[in-house]
Amino acid sequence: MSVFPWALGGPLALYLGLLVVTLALHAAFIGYVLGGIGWVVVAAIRGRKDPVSEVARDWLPFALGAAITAGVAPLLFVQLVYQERFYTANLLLFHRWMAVVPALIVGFYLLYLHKSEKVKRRGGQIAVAVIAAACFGFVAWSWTENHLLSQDKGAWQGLYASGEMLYVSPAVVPRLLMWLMASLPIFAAGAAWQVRAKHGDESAASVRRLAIVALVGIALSTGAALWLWQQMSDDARYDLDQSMMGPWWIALITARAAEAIAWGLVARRPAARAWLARASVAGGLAIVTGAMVREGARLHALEPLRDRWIMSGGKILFAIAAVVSIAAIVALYKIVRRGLVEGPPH
Amino acid sequence: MASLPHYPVNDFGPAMKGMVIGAVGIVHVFLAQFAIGGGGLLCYFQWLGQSGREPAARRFLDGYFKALVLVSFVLGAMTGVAMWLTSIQVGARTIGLMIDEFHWVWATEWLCFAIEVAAGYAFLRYGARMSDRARLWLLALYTAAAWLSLFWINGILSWQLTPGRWLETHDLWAGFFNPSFWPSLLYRTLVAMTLAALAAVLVINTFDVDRETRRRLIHRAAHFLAPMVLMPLCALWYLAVLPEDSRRWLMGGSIAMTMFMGIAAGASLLIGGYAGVALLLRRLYINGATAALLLALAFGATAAGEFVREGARKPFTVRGTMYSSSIGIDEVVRLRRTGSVADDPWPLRDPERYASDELRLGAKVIRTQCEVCHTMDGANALNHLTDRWTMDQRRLNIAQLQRTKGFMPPFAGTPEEVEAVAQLLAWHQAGEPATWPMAGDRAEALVRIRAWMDEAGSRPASEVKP
Repeated sequence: MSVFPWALGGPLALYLGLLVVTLALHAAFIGYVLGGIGWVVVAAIRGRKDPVSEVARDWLPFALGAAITAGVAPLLFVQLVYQERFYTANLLLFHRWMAVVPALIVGFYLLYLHKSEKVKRRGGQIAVAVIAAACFGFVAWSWTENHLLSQDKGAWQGLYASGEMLYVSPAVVPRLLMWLMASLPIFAAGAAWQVRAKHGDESAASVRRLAIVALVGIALSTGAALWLWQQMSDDARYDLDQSMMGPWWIALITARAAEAIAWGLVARRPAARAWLARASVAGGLAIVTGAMVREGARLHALEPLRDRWIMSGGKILFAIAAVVSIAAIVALYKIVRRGLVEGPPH
Repeated sequence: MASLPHYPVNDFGPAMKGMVIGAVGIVHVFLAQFAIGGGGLLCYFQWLGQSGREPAARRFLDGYFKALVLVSFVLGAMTGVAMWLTSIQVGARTIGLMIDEFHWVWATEWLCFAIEVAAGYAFLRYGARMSDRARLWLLALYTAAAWLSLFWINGILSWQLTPGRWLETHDLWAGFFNPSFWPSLLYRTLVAMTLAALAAVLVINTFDVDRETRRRLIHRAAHFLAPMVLMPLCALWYLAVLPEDSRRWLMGGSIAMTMFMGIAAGASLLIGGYAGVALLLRRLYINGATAALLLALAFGATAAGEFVREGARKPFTVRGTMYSSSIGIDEVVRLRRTGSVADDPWPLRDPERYASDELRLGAKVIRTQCEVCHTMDGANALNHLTDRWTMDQRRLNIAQLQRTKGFMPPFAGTPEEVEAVAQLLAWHQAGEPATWPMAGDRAEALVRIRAWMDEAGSRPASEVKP
């Protein structure tokens, strides 16, 4: 049995691999944005500034920019391997789906507005945070709906004939809940490192709170995943039951368990850097293996191999460009580190 | 080309689908080109600042970069995403074909975009605390990545218009470095520099500095307008490599396109003339209102230019391969035999509205073949275009669509489908009565339609002999 879950060979395996890797990267930034805006909303309602909400305020615009940038790549690869289904779901949801663009623009500018601290009144700050959160929540819901509709071929014609732009499925809520809750440990990991870097030993209380939030997120997302399993289509469950998915299930469950244990220890000893590192690594593995399992659930929906893919050139170009890009990012980091005239960035 | 799937078709109401994608596309192109030129301009000012040539350069850099990030990184990136999503709405088959052919190029373009964003955010966050040398490196990296992003996407867009040898070889590089690649790239680079300079003049006017400093900064920014002098040559080069029929549209064959080309050229000439005489030769001061006006003029020129570029491609979305209706050029013969909607699984949303099965067939055919460019009563309305035609004129004009208008594709369906469309138009123009009798001798009409279709052939107008 192949360790790689899709013994598909050729371009299909390559495209799926790239989809998974880039999706995981996208999910990491999205997790930070969703978890971060949640934290900001709570902080705004409570009317108290804390180191975590300050860090989130500072970094959320960048995280959203990075999430959108990172999201372009999986958007490209999904158009290859699930072209007909993805396009059809887009078309069926029409205006409702297209509304993600203005929602993201509004949310983006609200994050900058929040960062600028130009809104002084508490009511205004709450409104900014809540509307931004609503925008991102709407986008998350739309993606969930789009993803599920793309797999539900049986619903397509009826939905089109009805002219409705709302796809109702029992899987929508648990799936959305699973992803939203899974964003909490991602944000917790990012914010914990940032708070530590900024406040050093004084960050212990904040890190402890983040660890608790991460544990709650892991527990709730696991519960939502079990709920989702019950609501899944037979096709999706069949695909996930395949023996070739076994290693990835094991990897995902192990990573999640390790992450939970590590966060538990961070909560007890928030100053211990090593456990935070372990929680972060395990969280990263959970994202990647989670993305693998996510794709595993729709293997039955893969597009047949097309001649144009085999004939299409440019693989070498992309490989070279990928190497050059990594070198450019490393160079960029070095330029910033060496170029700072007032000490390291914080 | 292999058979492509049928996608559901959405009704955009009174708006033409081309208008929607055009609006999104023009805003995106404008912002993206501003971001590319902006990078170069920032490098220039950084160099002016660190070499002591312009003491206020750093002030400009920080203000301009903030505008660049807030406008371009947010709106530019989001309109880019909107372009993907709108392209799917308007022509899923076309964008699917483009993705299949050029996904590695697109993935490479994404890498460049990612570096551009990373460098941009790094500058925004740390630029103020960095050494001059490091700032210049960061800006250079940003600019190179942004321009390379244009380089890659330009190959794909210009391929749509002039696929060149790709049509025979299907070789990616033959398609990428197509006949209009270089003139298009050069032209867009010049436009990017122009937009960056005009936006800079506007931003400089918002600074709280003395008039002399402002005048000096404006004059420096205006240096980026100087390359506009190459624009006419570039435009002529571009025109020269266009396919003959496309060039004919622009040179009077289609008066709308000729006028839009005139607007683009006239607006560019006005900006260039003002830049050359007022800013570069006489070194005059320019206030915020004038700068905004010039930028608006540049937006108009961009919009008109993009309209012309899109229009010149008609009747194709990918020349020689796929029509505007997203029907493959090689599919027409088969569809004339089997019918264009025989395999269409998508039902009509309002079947009870139509008085007969024939009219329902006509509605489906219009949805598949016409609605990407036409509406029934809104923009570019079929009703308006055909309401003075007799029934036989309708039949003839639809059967020989590529002869009716050279920028229309050949009709890709059976004679029965032509008749169904003609009947539907007549029924709609009659006020959509509840009953609609079969008019005249149908069998005889179908024979005539078949003869007309055979006479015009199944190839595009550019290949039809008079």
